[in-house]
Amino acid sequence: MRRRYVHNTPVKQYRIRNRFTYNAPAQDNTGTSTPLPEDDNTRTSTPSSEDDNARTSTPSSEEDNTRSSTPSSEDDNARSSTPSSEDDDGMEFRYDYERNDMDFQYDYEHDSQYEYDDIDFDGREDEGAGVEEEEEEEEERRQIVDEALSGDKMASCSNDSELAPYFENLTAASLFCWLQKYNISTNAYEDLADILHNTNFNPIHVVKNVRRFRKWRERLPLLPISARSISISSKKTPSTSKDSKIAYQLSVGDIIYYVLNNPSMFKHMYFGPGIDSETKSEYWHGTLWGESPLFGEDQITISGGNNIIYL
Amino acid sequence: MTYKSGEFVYYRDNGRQLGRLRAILKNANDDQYRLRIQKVVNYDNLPGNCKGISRQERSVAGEVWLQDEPFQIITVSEIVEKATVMIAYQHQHIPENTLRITEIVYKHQNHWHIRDALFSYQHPSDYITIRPPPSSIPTYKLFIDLYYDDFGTYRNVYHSLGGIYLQFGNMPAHQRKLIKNHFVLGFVPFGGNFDEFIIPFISDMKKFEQGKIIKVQGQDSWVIAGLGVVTSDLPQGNDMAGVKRHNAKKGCRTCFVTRELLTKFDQDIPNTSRYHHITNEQFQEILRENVSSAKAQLCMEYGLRLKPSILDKLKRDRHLQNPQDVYHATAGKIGRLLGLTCELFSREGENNFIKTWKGFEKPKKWSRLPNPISHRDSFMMSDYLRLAMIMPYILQRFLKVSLLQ
Repeated sequence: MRRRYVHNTPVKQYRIRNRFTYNAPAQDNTGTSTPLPEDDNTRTSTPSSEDDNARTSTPSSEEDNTRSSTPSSEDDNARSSTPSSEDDDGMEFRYDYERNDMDFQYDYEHDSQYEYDDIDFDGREDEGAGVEEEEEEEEERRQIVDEALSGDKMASCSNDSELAPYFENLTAASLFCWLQKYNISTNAYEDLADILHNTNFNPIHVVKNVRRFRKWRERLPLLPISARSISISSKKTPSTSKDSKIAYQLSVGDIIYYVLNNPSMFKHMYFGPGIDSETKSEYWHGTLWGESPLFGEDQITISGGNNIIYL
Repeated sequence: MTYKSGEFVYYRDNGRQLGRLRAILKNANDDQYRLRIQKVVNYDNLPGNCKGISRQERSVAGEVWLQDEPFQIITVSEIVEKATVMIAYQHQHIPENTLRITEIVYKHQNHWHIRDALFSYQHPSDYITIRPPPSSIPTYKLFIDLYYDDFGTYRNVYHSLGGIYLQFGNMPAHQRKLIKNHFVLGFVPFGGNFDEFIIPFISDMKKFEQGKIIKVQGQDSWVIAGLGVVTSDLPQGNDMAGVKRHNAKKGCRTCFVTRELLTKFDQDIPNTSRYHHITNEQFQEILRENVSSAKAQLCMEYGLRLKPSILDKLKRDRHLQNPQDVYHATAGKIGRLLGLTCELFSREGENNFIKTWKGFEKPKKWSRLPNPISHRDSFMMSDYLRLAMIMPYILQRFLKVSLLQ
């Protein structure tokens, strides 16, 4: 989508902020005159914290420059070479209008909406001028399924961190962003939370180079893997593939050795004779275990009457 | 006196009886040794319909008859002494006056029948002998359970990997089911051959069958490992039993029954089963044939592949230790039954069925079942089994004669 903007004639740099809805209107008000620092401060509490940091530090129009080099830089760059001024006005207006009643809440929602609706953006641009009139109708037509919590419903944050009222602290915010960015699964997150909550966990020990983990893996007493070339039938495979491939495998001998020498597995294992049991649930209740010399006991020594010695 | 499993013995049970010691077991309740005995009967104890002049004459020459299941369990003190009995087909030469067995009496459909002793599973002691440990060190016998399954790696391209993993039958079921107790052996690349891939495993296992000294918990121990079961689904399972695929004329890995007769009710199973030693001879016969069309003809006749599976190099019974895939078979049957049932409904019947099915109180844990009328083809096997559980109640709620076509 972002590429689409490129066709449009580039205008004022700070047009970017249309994207960052929370910011845009403020910027425009200030843009012509002097920057209003408070305004910016109120706005700091945005979903993406990195963005915020960058912005809060530079309230002036230079800000644009700094921002285009913020983490999501490609994003910004693409955008900074963008829309037509006319459209700009339309959007501006709309933001203002909304912002008056809804404030933050609107901002947030709108922002997320753009995230998803990117593709429609061009279409909207055309409607640009008409947006004002259509706004109310559109409200009716739109069925909102995922809406941000309105300001008064939001539980107030106990502290007055710069992330209030969205997040309690930087930890929550950064984990939130990370989760969203990489689509972290519930299980993966729960495991991470367990690790972080461990009393012995020390952030200083967290290495920054992921390659270090490979080194640690080498140290572990893992089973050796052997490689062997095996032939590949040409019938099933595409004609371009080779007629042999390397197949990797572990050795049963190694597996047996490690299983027998692992106390937590060994203690669960049964090595005795077959068992005659009413309910049959295990292999040693079965015929093969009882009869085969490979598994059960294959001889019994009976001396005298009931005097028994087992072998 | 030392008794080995597989030997023939005399024991006390209303007098002196002859039997074969099949297994040395421990009782689950009192932890005492018990012996599983297969009865051997003489002519006088044969069922009436099996008696006859010829058998009577043979009995005078020393013939006795093995009796098939159910087997008896006796206590150790009931055993008297060893006996010498020879099973005719296993011995070239049987000395005079030695008890011999050529036939087995068995019950089928509540009637006594008699069959050649050739048509029975050999006792494992007939083909397995193990070495005793070199010195008195602890012995551990491992039961290896090998799994093989092809699984697709990509959603839309046919490109499958053969996953091979093993488990230890020495672990109780509740441990075996844990994912950490599945041990991966490797993956057969797409287009690769299982038999070729598994060669190193076979050579390792051959050593383990003989027994091997391994340090276990710091102590030298005698470790014996045998291939207990090979578990795999339908096509691969047949491959490993050396039997043709299931769409062949004789495509069952445990019996010779032809495709058309598989659903026959009164199968004389012992008489139609595949037996390892007979299959061996059939493979030999196929191997000896030089002309390829004649080879193919023999393969078709026996429902066997050209060559036995490489797993047969290990000590095992290819038909017994390659169990049927009960889950796939059951789910497949239920799928067909469901299809046939739904085809019986009239239009109105279908609608009523769907209505009742939708309103039926299904367990909360179940994921949503697809529509059984319109989306039956996309059912998973678990869907079939779940629907089968509630189907009788659904039918009972709405079915009237008028709703059938």
